[in-house]
Amino acid sequence: MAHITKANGIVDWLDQRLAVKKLMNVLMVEYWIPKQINFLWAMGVILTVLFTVLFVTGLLLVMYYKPDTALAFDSVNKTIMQEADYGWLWRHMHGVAASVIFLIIYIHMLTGIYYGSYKKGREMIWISGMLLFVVFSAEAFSGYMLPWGQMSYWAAQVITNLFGGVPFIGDALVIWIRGDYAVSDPTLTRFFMLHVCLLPIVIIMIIAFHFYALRIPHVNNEIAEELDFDLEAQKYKNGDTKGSKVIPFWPAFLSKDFMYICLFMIFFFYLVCFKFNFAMDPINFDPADALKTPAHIYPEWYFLWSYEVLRGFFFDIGSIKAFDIGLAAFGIAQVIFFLLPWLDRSDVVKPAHARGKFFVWFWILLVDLIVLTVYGKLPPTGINAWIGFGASVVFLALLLVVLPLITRKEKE
Amino acid sequence: MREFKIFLVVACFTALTYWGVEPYAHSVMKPHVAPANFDFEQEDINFAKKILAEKEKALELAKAENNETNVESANKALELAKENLAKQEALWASVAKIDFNSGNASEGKAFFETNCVACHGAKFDGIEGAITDSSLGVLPPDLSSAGLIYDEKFLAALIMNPALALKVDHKFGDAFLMTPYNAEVSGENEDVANANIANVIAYLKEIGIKYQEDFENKTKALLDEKYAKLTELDEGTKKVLWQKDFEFAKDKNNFIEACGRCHDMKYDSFTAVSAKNDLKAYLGSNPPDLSMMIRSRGDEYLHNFINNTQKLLVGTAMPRVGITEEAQASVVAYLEKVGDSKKEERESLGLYIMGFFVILSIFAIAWKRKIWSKLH
Repeated sequence: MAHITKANGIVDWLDQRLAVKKLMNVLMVEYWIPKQINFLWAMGVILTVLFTVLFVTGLLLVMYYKPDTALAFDSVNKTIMQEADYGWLWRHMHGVAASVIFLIIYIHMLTGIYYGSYKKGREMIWISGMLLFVVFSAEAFSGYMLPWGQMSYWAAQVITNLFGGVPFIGDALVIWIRGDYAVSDPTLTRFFMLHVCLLPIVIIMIIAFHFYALRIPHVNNEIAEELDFDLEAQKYKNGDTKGSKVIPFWPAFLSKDFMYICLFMIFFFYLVCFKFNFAMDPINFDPADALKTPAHIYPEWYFLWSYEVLRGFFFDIGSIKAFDIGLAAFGIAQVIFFLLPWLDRSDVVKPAHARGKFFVWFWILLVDLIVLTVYGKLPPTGINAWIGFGASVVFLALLLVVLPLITRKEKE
Repeated sequence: MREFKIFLVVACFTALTYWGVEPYAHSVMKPHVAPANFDFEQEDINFAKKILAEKEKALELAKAENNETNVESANKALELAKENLAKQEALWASVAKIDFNSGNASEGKAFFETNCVACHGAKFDGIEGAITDSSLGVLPPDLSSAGLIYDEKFLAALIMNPALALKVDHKFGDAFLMTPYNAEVSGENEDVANANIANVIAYLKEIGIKYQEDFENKTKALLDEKYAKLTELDEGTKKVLWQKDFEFAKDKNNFIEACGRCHDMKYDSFTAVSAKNDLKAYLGSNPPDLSMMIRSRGDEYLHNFINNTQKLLVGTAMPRVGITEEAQASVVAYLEKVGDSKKEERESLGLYIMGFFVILSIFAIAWKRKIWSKLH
């Protein structure tokens, strides 16, 4: 046993038992971040804050929510929204944070793509991030079902139906997922379990892994300069804080992030209290009704781009059904970003504006994603269907063909 | 500066996406309709003309396609639209002949007691209607408040041609529950019939005003009693709460009078007066509970819909309600007070929280500057 002496304060007392000083050093004070970064590097901490908001408000909501098709709608819209003190606030915060977190995830992802932060040693950061994106999607979808409104019900209907397209076991798979022949009470209960138990646990584990994956290759910087972190850290410790190219996570990096969080929260609460319809679709305030199909069924905005890839292929080609082509394209769209570090054949790590063709590719991809998102919501009729088809083809081509080609050239 | 440029790029693309999926997409998906018009004559004739124009266009399109079956059905639809416009114009032309100012309330009461009472009551004036349940499909309304909440021209149109004025002719045709009263049906001279209608409406207005006075007095008494007991509150708060309760009671009463025979308001513990299975047999489906309508439909939709139900939900069995602008505002206010009861709290608290983060941001910026002064 270590030699325990009379502690001279609470920190010392804890330090003798838990080595808190060493832990703080490893996690915060001597965790080095490049100095040359811009506000886009704050997205990670903002995401952590938003996840915490979701977790805490979620706990408060579970206290009143009832996962039963006969009770769910009223437990949300009456008990939580009107009867429990500030229940409306927790629900609005939860709903808006769930939507906004995807906006920040997309900014975070596109930042990673723009600055080349997914390759040359940083592949695991990228992959764990993509895993988080996928599990977050499942978390968002399962949560959207819980109020048991019209959109909850019909989105569940449409999405679970997709699994019917899996070869051979499709039909059985759909029933297995729903727990019944149709979307009904067992479906709601199991999605409740996924939303409040299994998926949050998985998310927390992947977040820990994502943070850990950053430690060895370190965070990228604005000019993708390869830094000798040990050397720079030594400089900093020796007192050359201005000359060193790194800063400690605490307090330097976090003080900056704390500033961004505060500014972001002004915007966040503006959305929560005054502009929430984008995150809480009015149609979902109609109770679920299996006999009344809404005029337009669409997913939340953050799923629209992949939803449009799914329905973009609206005509049969030869003997292959449109549904199957769409489903295959949708499947590719879900996993294609995982492969980004290998689809990019070049070993140049530089921001996009220093990479010529890649720069053009990046902006075309961004615009294409926005086109897919907007047309994913519009009714797929007439010209809309063709624009959706075109944008879907462009999306697949950009990632599967164009990116490998231009980056291979870049390497030469 | 560079940081600010990056922020602008992010903000612009975010705003573009938001615009695309929210205002733009919804403007494409939502039907475009003229705003609610409480001159019901204008509203009905304009609406019939608009449908006529649409059908003409459809016919032209079918002709251009050269598809015979389509042309035939488009022709039929056009004929129907023309017929409908003619009917509306005829009805409102006869309403225009009525001199509402010359109505005599006491003669109206006599008319009411010999004709309307077969179904309707005016309980406030001690008149019981002969039908007191929903066995015909829906409970015939008690008309104590009708003169106050319904528009007089609408009431006249309703008496002369109920199915057409209520916009349920597409569903019930001539077999509508309420029998029309007009010169043609009664065989009387047109002036006599018009005078009768003016008299009845004068009567309804007279008791409507008294009914409202009585309702307000009773409510005031109840509230005075309630607040007299709440001694721990100071006078100022009491006054504010009293006024809120009073407005709420008035709005709720208007809701019950205008909507409460068919619709529930579960979140305010109100159940429709007509029996559920009667309504279902009569209308084809159960009228929805209205508790969350303010969140699911929004203020503007509700105003346009109540004003002219067919405009937003073609073929619906819900009749046009025909309430005045004032009564409709009160009904929608009630929907909001029940369905979005925390709106006031949300909007005031929202400002406080944002203010809190503005102040916190100032401290955060100062802290960041202090720490970074050693780094740059």
